[in-house]
Amino acid sequence: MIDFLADPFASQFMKNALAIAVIVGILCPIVGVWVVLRRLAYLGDAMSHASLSGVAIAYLVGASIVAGALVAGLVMGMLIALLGARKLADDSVIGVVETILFALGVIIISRSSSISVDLTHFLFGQITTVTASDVQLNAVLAVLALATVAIFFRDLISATFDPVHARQVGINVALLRFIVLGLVSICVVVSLQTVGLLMSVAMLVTPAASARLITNRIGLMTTASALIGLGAAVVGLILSYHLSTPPGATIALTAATAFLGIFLLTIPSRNRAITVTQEHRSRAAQRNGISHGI
Amino acid sequence: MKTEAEVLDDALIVENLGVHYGQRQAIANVAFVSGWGELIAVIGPNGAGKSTMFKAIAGVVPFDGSIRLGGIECHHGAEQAHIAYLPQQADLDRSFPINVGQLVLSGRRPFLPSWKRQRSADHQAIDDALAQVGLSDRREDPIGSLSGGQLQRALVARALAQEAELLLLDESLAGVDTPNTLDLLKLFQTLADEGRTILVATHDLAIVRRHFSRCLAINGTLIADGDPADVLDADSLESTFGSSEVARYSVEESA
Repeated sequence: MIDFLADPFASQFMKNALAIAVIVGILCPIVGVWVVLRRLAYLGDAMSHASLSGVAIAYLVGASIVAGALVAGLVMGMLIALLGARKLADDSVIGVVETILFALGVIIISRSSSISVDLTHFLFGQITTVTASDVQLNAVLAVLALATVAIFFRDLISATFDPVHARQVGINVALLRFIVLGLVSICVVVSLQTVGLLMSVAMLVTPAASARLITNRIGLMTTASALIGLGAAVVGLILSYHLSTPPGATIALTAATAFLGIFLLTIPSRNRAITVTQEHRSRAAQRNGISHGI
Repeated sequence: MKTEAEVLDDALIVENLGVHYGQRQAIANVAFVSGWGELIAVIGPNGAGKSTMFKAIAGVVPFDGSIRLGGIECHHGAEQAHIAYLPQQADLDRSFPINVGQLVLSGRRPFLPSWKRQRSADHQAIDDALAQVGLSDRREDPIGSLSGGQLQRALVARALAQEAELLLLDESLAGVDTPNTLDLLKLFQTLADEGRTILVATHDLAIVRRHFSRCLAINGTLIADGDPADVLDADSLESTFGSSEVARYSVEESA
């Protein structure tokens, strides 16, 4: 068993892969808590796709891909605001903008001879090519992102639960929305080499959604989300080594398996919660002299 | 011309208040004055502008005209910690994973930025607010476990922790059973007796007649303002609800 766990990490490149998997496994699920609670799963998915254009342009001009992905996220936000109209629901506008930026990225990468990295590396990740400097850069980004979440934790609670009250007590709700989108962009960048753009949303949403099924406490939800994400990233990486499967897809499927397991295990407690609510309503109705069925 | 002291005696002065959403005028020419410690009912049909008026006073929607609280001009978008707007329950996600203590703590934001640790004064303020609304034993419970009446109490506790002087309660009694409604009305009266001004939007005219000493009737503009016995007469109700049948039914129901 120990050999099964230790063998994959005998080489330096797999040690680097493990380090980046740990970073992604902790960072994305913690940011993902706010993606889930703010019902931004589709926007997170769209931002990961749209980031391809920013990453491609950054490669083309020799700029930082982190900056490229962040600018792409910013451009996406501006285009959504610009194209948003009363007759169109937000998800329609997001779908259009996502398509434009993703297609632009695919065309730039496929037509440019100066970009040596294969398109599939962006889309599906290439965790075994991670270098020590990649790990350091992503660790710095992750620490900055997690510090931001910690600093604004209470404001995020207020602005997500009751934005009207949040504005009244002096919280800049629009700035916080921008900060959340910036955090999602950082997660997409950090996920680039592990699970890739297409599956980065898996690490953002799946562990947080699993944690939401377990608890009604936001602090515990954050901790559980990080633990589930960390477990999925490490177990997925080990499984991919032994099964010779793509690491990104294996990590995403491991997270999804954890979600399904938690979903099945929590069915009895969810049913109990529904029964308690029904009993409460029934007692309230009886207090008011209301009898059902008469 | 009122002296400065007299203006300060008037908690809330609303003059020529208007709000429009795009081309649609939601309310126009609303004007009234209330003193500190008044408990006022606000009635009107759905879409009459009750919530819009509350949101304008709370500074969360742009408005024309003038709103002053304690002699100080209120502005859209400015921090208005001394005013607490309690939304309709349907506007809140009751499955949101926070407990009652965290909900009340969010009222401390004007005194406690997000990046600072809670001080003993904040703990005390939360304890006091929960004790005042009778929820001391529910501090650690998730808000999803509260009944409608208890959630209203928790929101009132948040307003108390915020040290708000003006409470705007948007249909706070909707969906609340009779015992909890009566408890909430007692709580509102206690808070008013302590000097806070409280406006309660409601559709329950019988409650207005029995438990309030003043009522504002609104339908796009202020239709009537005064004692519920006067505001709830057939003529005023017909002007407010636009239907003699509704007015007759409402008078019979609320009598």
